[in-house]
Amino acid sequence: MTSTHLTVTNLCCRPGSQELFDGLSISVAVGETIELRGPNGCGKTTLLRIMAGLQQPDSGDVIRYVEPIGYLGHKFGLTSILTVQENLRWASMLNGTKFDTARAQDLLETFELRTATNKLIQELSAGQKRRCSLVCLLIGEYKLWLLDEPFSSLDSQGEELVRVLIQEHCKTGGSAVIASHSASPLAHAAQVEFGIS
Amino acid sequence: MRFGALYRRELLIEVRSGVESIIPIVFFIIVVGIFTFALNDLISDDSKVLVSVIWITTLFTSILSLDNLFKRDHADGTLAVAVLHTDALVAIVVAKLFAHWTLTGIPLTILGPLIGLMSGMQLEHAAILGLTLLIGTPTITMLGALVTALLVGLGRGGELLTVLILPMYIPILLFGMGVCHLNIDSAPYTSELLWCLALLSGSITVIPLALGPVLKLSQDS
Repeated sequence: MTSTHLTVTNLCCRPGSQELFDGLSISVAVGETIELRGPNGCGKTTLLRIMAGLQQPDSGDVIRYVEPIGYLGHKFGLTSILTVQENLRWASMLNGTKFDTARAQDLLETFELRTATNKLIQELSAGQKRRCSLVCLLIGEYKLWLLDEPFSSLDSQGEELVRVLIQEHCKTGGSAVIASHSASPLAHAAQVEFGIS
Repeated sequence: MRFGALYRRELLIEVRSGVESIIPIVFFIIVVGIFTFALNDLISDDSKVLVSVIWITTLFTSILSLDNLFKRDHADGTLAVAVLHTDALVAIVVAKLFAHWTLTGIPLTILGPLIGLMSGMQLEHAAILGLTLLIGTPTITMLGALVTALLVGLGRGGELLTVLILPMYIPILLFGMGVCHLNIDSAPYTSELLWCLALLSGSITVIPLALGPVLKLSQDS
């Protein structure tokens, strides 16, 4: 069993004339949470996308020791004309696991989505969509989470729930890299500050 | 990865998208209908004209329907999630293409010969037309999917898709129409039919494997 889930070495990204980062090296160990903080446009999303493999850096290496990766971007990753339950089944299918109805119901209960189980995603509020995409992430049983603004659209109760879940995930052998604007940083996370050059 | 479940999901999405999934079929009926009325004398004299009209309209119908193939998934972020699951990606893509063909290719395969028969085409000629469409429509879907996947990340489609896709359709158009024309002339058409089958085999073997990397690449834009 590997002790590291992901490493990036000497990463450089210069879209156009702007330099987002150069010589950036980060290692994400098992059980570790890394919080990327900084103003808009400083490269947090780009770094997460590079870590996930959705974008190529200008130079540098990314090594993923675990795959697939649980990625939650700005978009919800949910099909709007399918119901909550149908989207959860899809999340389960992606990892080739059998859909566990009882677990799904428990998670929906935790995220206060039980009454929305058979609702279409397009009928939900932005906060409910965010909660549903987080349930999909949990259904997928990924070891490494890359979360881009996971608290956006959530109320304070939802934000607290996500904080607890991230902490529990890392305690049980998972790891997470989180881009966040939240006023209060994650207490247990290593902070990486970004600035605009 | 349960292919059946993925296929049902894609069918459900197509069905729930409502009018969007019916428009290509309506387009096909209207365009072939216009040509049938406009070229009535030519068509009644020579079935080859109608066969050509049906084949060419099939190509344009496919372009119309393929424009949305990956666009919705890209817009809602499910495509980005899917490409991160390398092991499942081929099954996801094949299920999507198969569902698309079920709702576009199969109706065209049935409607083409049916319109032919209604316009006075002989049963044998209509049957061969149906056979070539049965082989041709999945090939068209595969080739079109490759170009659509390349364009999805750029947020482009429409006219650019048409310009890029039409040259790729020329071989299947020539061989598909060729089989029908030779059949109407009572000439042997085995060679052309085998070419159609070769194009189908090649596209269903190679393109699903190529689509994964292409879709991943499309995210990087």
